[in-house]
Amino acid sequence: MDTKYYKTWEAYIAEHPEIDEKLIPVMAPKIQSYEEMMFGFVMMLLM
Amino acid sequence: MASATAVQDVKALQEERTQLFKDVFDGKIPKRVPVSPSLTIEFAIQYAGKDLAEVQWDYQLLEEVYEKVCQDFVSDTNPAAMNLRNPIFYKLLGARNFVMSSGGFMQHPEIHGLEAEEYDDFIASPYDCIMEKILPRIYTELNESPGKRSIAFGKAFKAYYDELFAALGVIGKLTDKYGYSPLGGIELLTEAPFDFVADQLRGFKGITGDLRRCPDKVEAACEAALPLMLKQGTPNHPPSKYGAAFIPLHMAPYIRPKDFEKFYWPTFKKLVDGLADKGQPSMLFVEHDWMRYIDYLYELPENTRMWFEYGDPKLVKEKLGKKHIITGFYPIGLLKTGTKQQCIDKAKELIDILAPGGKYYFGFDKGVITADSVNVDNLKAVLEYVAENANY
Repeated sequence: MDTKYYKTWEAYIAEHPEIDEKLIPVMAPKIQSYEEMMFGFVMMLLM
Repeated sequence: MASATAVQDVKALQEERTQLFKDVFDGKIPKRVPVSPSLTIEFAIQYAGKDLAEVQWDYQLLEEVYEKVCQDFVSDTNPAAMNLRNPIFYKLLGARNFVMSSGGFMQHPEIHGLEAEEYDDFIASPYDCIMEKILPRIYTELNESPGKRSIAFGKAFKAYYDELFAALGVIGKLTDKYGYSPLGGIELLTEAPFDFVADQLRGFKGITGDLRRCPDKVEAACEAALPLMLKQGTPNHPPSKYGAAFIPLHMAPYIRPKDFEKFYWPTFKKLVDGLADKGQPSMLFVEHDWMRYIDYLYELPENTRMWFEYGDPKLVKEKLGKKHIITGFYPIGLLKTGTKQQCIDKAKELIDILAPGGKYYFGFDKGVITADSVNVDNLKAVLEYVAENANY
């Protein structure tokens, strides 16, 4: 999705090289889940 | 000991009810016709004798309301319907699209969030356009300074999920307590791309004019909306053949067949196909009368679930019944005006038409919205009749 308001984890991690690799497995699902929740909320506002 | 036995009985009942839906969705003939009425939260609140607005604002009261519906109405799925229109987040955002009336009903005024001359912005980047142009137009609190907008959005986001999870918790608890099937309901909500563009972006009046004034833009906007609708209909966990993306269909009966063919059908078909390709079934609410498009519906992926409002049940069974899963058609108006026997006879008539060969579960033609829109004794009698008599 080409937008500045939604990021995949891959895009996020590319912008945050400072993130410790060992934290990636625990961070990725959390960060992504909030991204998905926000997307779901935004779409709900128009349904 | 008695308590443990009761728990086992409820568990067994839940497994039996779940199996009914698994069989229907697998294309097997179930032990009997499953029953899945659509009793809305408004109906549940009024039936429980509570204040409509108060309960929607205070979900602490929800369990008592839903419990009464579970106690009094026979169903194989939890009859307590999820409320999609919780007033709290709409109020926090200053919504113009959903506004609570003095009677406590969430009203949907005709609005539009996208101007005709902004189609190109939407087509170029639909999600950016939604965030930057459409939402601020529909939600007054988002048409403020960046700081105020952020605060409003944060509050509404939290309220939406707090209330959603609270309601899901109550529904899940009652589903287990009363042994309902967790299958047979809906999991996600998405829309046909044309309906998405029509409903709140351009509005009914706007889209019907656009079909003449700028048909190419409408077509391109539907294509642009498709990836959003696909994403919205896809669960964040691996899809299940027993899950469902709910797609309420709105505009097709109100546009000309040649417009349906060109503007509505292509991206709608891509949506349902795309979800099926990911393993996610679709549950269509085939709103109003789609009989002129029945051959199109046949073309959708096998075992697409179709909840019909109006139309010819015999024709639907004949043309779609071997490929797709059918529900609906029972006219809730009869529950208000008919005698108990007339209501039961109507259920028999529909079961005789739709049940043979399976791929059918019993449901009404629409959600029961108010307690006084039906005679509740008739409603109870019909649900009991089907659950006790519609055996294969």
